Amino acid sequence: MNQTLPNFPLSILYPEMILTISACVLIFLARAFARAHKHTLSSIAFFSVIAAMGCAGSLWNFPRWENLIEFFLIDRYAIFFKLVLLVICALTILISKRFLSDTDTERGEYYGLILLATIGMMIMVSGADLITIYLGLETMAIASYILAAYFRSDERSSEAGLKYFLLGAFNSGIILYGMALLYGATGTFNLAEMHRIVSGLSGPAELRLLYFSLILLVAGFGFKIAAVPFHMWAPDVYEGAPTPVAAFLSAGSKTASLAVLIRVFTVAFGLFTELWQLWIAYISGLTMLFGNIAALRQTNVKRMLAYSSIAHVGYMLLGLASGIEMGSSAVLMYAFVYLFANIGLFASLILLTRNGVPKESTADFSGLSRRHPLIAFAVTIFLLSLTGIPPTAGFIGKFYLFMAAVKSGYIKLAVVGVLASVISLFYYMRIVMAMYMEKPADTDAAALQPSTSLGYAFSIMVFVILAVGIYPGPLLDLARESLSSIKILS
Amino acid sequence: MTHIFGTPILTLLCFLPLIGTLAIVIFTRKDEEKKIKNIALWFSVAAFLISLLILPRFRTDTAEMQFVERAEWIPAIGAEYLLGIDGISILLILLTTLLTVIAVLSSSTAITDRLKEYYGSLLLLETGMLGVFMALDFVLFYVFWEVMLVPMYFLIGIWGGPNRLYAAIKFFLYTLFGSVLMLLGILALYFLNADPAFGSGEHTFNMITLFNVQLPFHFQCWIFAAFFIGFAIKVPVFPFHTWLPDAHVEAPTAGSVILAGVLLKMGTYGFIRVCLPMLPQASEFFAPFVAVLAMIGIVYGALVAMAQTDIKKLVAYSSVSHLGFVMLGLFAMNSQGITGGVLQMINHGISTGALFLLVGIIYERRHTRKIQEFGGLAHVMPVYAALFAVTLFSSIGLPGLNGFVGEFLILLGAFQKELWYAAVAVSGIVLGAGYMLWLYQRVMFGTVTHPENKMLKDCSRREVLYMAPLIILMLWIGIYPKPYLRLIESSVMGTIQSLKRPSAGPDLMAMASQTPPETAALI
Repeated sequence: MNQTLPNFPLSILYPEMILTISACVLIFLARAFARAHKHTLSSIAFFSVIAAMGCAGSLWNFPRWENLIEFFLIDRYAIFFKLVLLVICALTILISKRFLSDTDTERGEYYGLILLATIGMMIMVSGADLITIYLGLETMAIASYILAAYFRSDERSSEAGLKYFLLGAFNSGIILYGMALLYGATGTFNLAEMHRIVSGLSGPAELRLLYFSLILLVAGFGFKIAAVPFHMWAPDVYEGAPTPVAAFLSAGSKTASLAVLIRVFTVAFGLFTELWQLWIAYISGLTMLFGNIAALRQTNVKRMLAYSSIAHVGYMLLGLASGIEMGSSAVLMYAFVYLFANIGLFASLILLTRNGVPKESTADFSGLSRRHPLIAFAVTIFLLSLTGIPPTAGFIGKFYLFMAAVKSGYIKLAVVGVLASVISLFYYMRIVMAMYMEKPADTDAAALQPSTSLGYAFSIMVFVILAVGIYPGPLLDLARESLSSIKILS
Repeated sequence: MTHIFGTPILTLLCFLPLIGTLAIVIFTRKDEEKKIKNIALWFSVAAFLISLLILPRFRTDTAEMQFVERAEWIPAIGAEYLLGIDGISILLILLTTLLTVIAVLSSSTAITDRLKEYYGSLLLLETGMLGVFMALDFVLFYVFWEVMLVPMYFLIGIWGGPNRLYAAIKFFLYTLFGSVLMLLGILALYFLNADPAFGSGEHTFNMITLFNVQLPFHFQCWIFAAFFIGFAIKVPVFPFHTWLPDAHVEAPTAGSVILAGVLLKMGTYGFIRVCLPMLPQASEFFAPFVAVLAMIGIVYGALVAMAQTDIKKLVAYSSVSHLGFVMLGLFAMNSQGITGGVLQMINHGISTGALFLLVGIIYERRHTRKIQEFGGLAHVMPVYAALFAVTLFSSIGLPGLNGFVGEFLILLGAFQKELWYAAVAVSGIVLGAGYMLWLYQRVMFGTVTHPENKMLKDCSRREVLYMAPLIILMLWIGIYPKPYLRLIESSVMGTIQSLKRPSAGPDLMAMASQTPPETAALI
C-alpha cells in the first residue's frame, strides 16, 4: 500500500472544506457579532451549504472518480448522497430560523453544529475504508448529541440529548467491535480489499468471525437508522429534541447511515449477499409493521412522525433486501423522496409553534385550511407523499420499491409493505381531517404567517414532491447511475 | 386519427377539468361565488362538448383502441403516457362528462360553504375518472385510479352529513386497500410479460401489449385474486360493499351522483378491461364463484334496500343489487351478457344518478330523508312525482326504459351460461320492483300527513333542466338502444375473442418450472 499521500486535485474535498471553514467561522467568530447581526448567521450557513452543493455537483463528471484516494471515494454514489445530505442541511437551516428566533436561541453554535454533523455524514458516504466511515460516524454522532440537547433549559430536550448520547455511545462500541472483528478476519480496513480477501477465506474460524461481525454491524447500523428492534431511542429523542433538529436527525443521520450500510454490505460482504438480504428482509417486515402500528396510537404529531420515520426505514430496507441493482437504486430514490415530505411536516410543526410554546398534537392542526389554505395544501401534499398516493413523489418511491421487491420474489414482504402503507393512511389522514374537516381551535390567522425562509422551504418541498411525482424519469436515472458506480469498485 | 382540430383530443379532454381546477384556485377569491360556479360550469360543459366531438369520428367497426396518444414518460421502467379509447370506454367517458355537468348544476344551491375547494375537487375528480377510462398504460391507470380518491375523500369529508368523517376515511381505506393489492397484480403481470415464454419479452406496462400475455393457469389465478379484490371493493361486490352505504349516505348529492354514476363503474370497467382479456382462464375458472357473489349481491342488496327507512340508503343498497347484475352479465362471458353488462353500467349511472339527484332535491327542501316524514308528495309536487316515476321505472327495468334493455341482455347471457343464474337474478328484479314501488307509494301517494310538506315547492326550472337529459336518455336507450349497442358491439366481440384464446398449455406449464428465478419466485 502506498504510504505517501497520493497526488490528487484539492477540488474533490471542496464541499467538506467549505463547510468546515464555515462551521469554524460560525462557532468561533460569530460570538463577536452575534447579537447585532442575527441574519448573517443563518445566511453564512445557508450559502456555504449552497456553495458546497455546487462543488459536489461539479464533481459528478469528474474524470477519475474511481480511486483517487484509497480511503476517501468520490464516486457518483457518494456524490448523490452528498447532494441529498446537503439538501437536508439547507432545508434544516431554512426551517430553523423562525424556530430559533421565536425562542431567542439563535446562536452561531447551532448552525455550526448542523454543518459539522453534515460534514460527518458526507465523510461517511465517501468512506472506502472502515476508519474513514467510523470517523465520519462519530463526527456526526457527537454533533447530533449536542444538537438534541440544544435547549439546555428544557427538560425534554436535555433528556433527549442524554438518552441519545448514552445509547449512541454504546452503539458506537458495537459498531467498532464489529469493525474490529472484520479487520481481524481479513487484515484490512479497505472495503474493496476486504471483498477480495473474503472470497479467498475458507477456514471456519475466520468465517465465524465474519458472521459475528456481520451481526454486530447489522445491529449497529440498525440502531443508527432506527430499524426494529433497535429503534427504542428514536421516538423519545425526536420528541424531545428541538423540532428542526428532529427533522435533521430523522432525515440526515438515517440517510447517511443507510448509505454506509449499503456500501459496506454490498462491497465487503458481497459474498454473503443472500444471507444478509434475508436478515434485512425480516427486519424490514418487522419495521414496516411495527412503525406503522405504533404510529396509529400517537396523538403527538412529533412522536407520530418518529414512528412513521421508523416505518419508512422499513420500506427502504425492503429495497435493500430486494437486490443490489434495482432494489438499492430504489432505496436511493426513496431516501431522496422521503426527506422532503418528512422535513416538510416538521416544518409545519415549527409554523404552528407560538412564542416557543410547542403545538404538537393533531388537534393543533384543526381548521388550518381556513386559517392558512396554502400551508394546509402543502401539508396535505406532504402527507399524501408519505402515504404514497400519486401524483406525489412518495408514490413513485414506493412504486419503485415494491417493483424491486416483486422482481426479486419477495412477494409476501411486498404484501406486508403495501398493507402497512394502507395502515399509515389512517394516521396521516387524521391530520388532513383535522385541517379540513374540523373547526379551527385557534382563529388567530396572522400568527401563522410563515417567515420568508420558511415560505421558501415550503415552496421548494412542495414543488419537488409534485415534480418528481409527475415526471420521475430523471431522478430514476440519477439513482441508477449513482448505484452503478458502486459496482465498478467491487 | 388522434387529433381533432389539431389538438390531441383525449389529452385535452382529460386535463381540461384540471385546468378548470387551477383556474378556480388561482383566479377567484373566496367570496366570488358566482364566478367560481361559472368557471366550474363552463369547464364541465366544455369537457362534455369535447367528448361529444369524439363521437362522430369514432369507428364502431373495430375493437382496436382508437385516438391513441403516446408519449415517453418513465422510460427507465417502461411506463408510457398512453391514452386510447374503445367502445367500452367511450360510453363511460360520455357518462362521466355528462354527470359532472349535472353534478355542478345540482350543487349550486346545495353547497354554500367553501365553494372554491368544492368545485375544484369536483373538477379534479373528473380528470381522475376520465384518466382511468382512457389510460392504456398500467402505471398511468393506477395513478389516475388513486388520484381520484383524494378529491372524493374531501367531497365526503367536508361537505358530507353528520357522520362524514367516518364515512370518508372508511371509503379511502377500503379503496386504497384494494388498489395496493391491484398494484402488486400489475407488477406481477409486468414481470411475467417480460419473460418471453409468456409474453412479449419486454418490460412494459402497455395494456395493449399485455392483452396478448399468455400466462400459465396458476399465475393467472394469483394475479386474478389481486385484481379481484381491488376491483370488487370498488364495484362493490358482496361482501366488500360495506363502505358503500356509509359513503353514499354521508356524501353530498353531487358526490353521491358521481360515486354511484361513475366511480362504481371503474370496478366493473377494471374487470372487463383487465381481468377478462388478460387473465382469461382464471376468469373462466373463477366465473362461477364471482357469479354466486353477484347473485348474493343482487338478492341481498334488494332485501336490505327493502328494510331501509332512509331514502338515500335505500338507493345505495339498490346500487349493490344493480351492480350485481352488471357483474353477473360480465361473468356470463358471452356476448349478450357482456354487452348487457356494459350497457347496464351506463343505465345504472343514469338512473341511480337521477335517483340521488331526486333525493337531493327533496333533502334540500326538508332536510330529512326519512321515508315516514313524507307521504302524498304527488299532490304537492306533481312534476317531481312524474320525474321520480320515470326514474324509478327505469331503475326497476320496465320495458320501454333503459333498465329493461340492459337487464334483459344480462338475463339472456346468464340463461345461456346456467339456467339457475337467470332464475335467481329474476327474483332480484321482482324484489327491486317491490322496494321501489313501495318507496314510491309511501312517499308520493296518500294524503299529505306532515303539515310541513304542504308548502313544498315543486321542481325549479334548474332542477328540471338537469334532470331532463337523464330522462331523455332513459327513454332513448329504452326505445332505441341500437346506436349504443353498436358502439359497444365490436369491443365486446374483441373481449370475447381474447377470452377464447388458447391457454398457456401443458407445455408452458412444464416450462414454468424451468423459468428464470425472477419469474419462478412469483408463485
